[in-house]
Amino acid sequence: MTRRNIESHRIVGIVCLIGLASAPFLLGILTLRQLTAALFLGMFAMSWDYVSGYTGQLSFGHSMFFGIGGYTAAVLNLNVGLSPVVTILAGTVAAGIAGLLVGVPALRLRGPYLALITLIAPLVLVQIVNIYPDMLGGEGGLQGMDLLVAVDEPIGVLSAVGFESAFEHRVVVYYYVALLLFLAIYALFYVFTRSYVGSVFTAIREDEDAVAAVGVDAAKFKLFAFTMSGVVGGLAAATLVHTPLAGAAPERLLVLPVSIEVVLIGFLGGMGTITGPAATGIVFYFVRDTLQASDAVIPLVGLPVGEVWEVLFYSIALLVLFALPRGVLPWLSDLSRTVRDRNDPSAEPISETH
Amino acid sequence: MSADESEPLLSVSDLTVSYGKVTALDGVDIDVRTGETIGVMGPNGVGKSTLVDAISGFLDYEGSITYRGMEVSEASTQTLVENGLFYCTERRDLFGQMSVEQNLRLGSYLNRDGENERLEKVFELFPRLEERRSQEAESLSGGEQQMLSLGRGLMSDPDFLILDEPSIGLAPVVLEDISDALAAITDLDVTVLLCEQDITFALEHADRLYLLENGAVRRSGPTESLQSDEFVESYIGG
Repeated sequence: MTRRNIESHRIVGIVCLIGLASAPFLLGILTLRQLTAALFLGMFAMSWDYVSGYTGQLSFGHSMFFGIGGYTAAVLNLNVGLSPVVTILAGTVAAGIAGLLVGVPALRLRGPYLALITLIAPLVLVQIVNIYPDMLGGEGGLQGMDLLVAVDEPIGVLSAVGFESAFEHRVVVYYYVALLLFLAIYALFYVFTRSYVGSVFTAIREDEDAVAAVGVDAAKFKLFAFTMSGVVGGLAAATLVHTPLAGAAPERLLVLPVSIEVVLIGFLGGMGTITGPAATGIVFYFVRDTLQASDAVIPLVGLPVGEVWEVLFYSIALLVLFALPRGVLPWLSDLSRTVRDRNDPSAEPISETH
Repeated sequence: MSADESEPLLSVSDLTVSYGKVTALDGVDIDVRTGETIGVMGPNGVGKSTLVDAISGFLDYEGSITYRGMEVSEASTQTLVENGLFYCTERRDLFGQMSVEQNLRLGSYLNRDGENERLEKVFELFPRLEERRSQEAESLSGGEQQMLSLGRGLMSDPDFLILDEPSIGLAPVVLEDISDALAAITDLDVTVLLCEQDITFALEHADRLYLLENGAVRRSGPTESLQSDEFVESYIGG
């Protein structure tokens, strides 16, 4: 990496940050609502990338953390009457404990065996939700949890900058709640993955036996990674169920397609980059929603896009994966390096910091 | 290099290792004392790597291997590394997608005190690694990867370094660099167990030699005395 490269990354980061911060003033209110939901998908993707992208412990059932976080918060709020702040904390802790428990088999199992464990765990949880419909809402899920921030009346500041209805105010407030959480999680993972811990994670992904040979207790780091991943996934989901965006329903938090989407986003964005899956999660959400809502008709076959969106969407994803097996972000990074080297072959390489 | 006459740092006694029905090592006895450089020689497939894998705690074995009085089979790799043992494998086991510097710093995982000073020493010993400190390990040449493997071993501040075939696959000019580095390492009072099939390399560095054949020690003794040994001569000749 060169100084100029780092500089250009910083500029892109600052531009993205400014863009996200000013999104309420640039986008329509419904698009802003979509972006809020997309940020949550980005958070889920980051939580997956932290353990699977960095340490190589492939999880195909990350929805278990989202489900545990979201349902814990929802049940405690609806049945026990705890406030959203407390239930979000409880959901986060519960998902962290789930991460720790899933991490235990990861100490003994590798590759497909571990993947199978993670795949089965959320299936069990879905069945539990169906077995206890009174408490967990069954297939329809739980609705009507208290909102994290009550926006019943228009807020003066937002009215002053042009947002009129209470609905608009609520969308803007929850957008900033999601953005703050997204940035906090991103910053947390950024610091962790660029630290010595991040180096050990990468080393575990590359060669666990070699890691042991240098005296690293890989088990400890794997447990930590799973726990952190659970904590972050649970935090995002527990917060989500206290927004107007979603309830705690299996199809939003628990079912297999949720897990598969997160894995797909991780691969598409670039495993082990955090930034790639975070950004791809947002784009992914918009592409999926656009296709789902489209009333265009596919020429020649005459099928409405909205009815066959899944075929189109996953085909596009597979094509991107085929063309860019390392993911979009590493490809963009390589591309910018190639362009820069062509323009300035004397760019001075520098060491990375730890 | 003067050897300590007290308890051996490493004592291998009646060591037998089998892979299923195949016996790779059969009743091997080896002692290594503090400050020594011990050469274990023999052609491919004779059991050298099996020996050092067992000593480093990566294989089950019969008999006894004690390092600093600890039975290796009862100690974790972490404990062995904490006690100064570091194993540079024949495969080198580098983390290919990590930078040279990250690979080196991982070597000092259990001993972060003085990490930066050791890093500077490694760069003094292998200036080429400093030039390539930000480069991914997989992009290095074979010789540079060997330097990195040795450097990572030194980053752990080892008392006892096990080197499995450090000369393998290296061009003569690179081999000279590795040889110089090994001489510098032994000057640092690091005890070394050197597994080699390059006889010249082993004779140049080892204080004492063990010659393996078919999984058993056929000859052992000080390097000077073995240089004129018939069996060793036949090995050199062969």
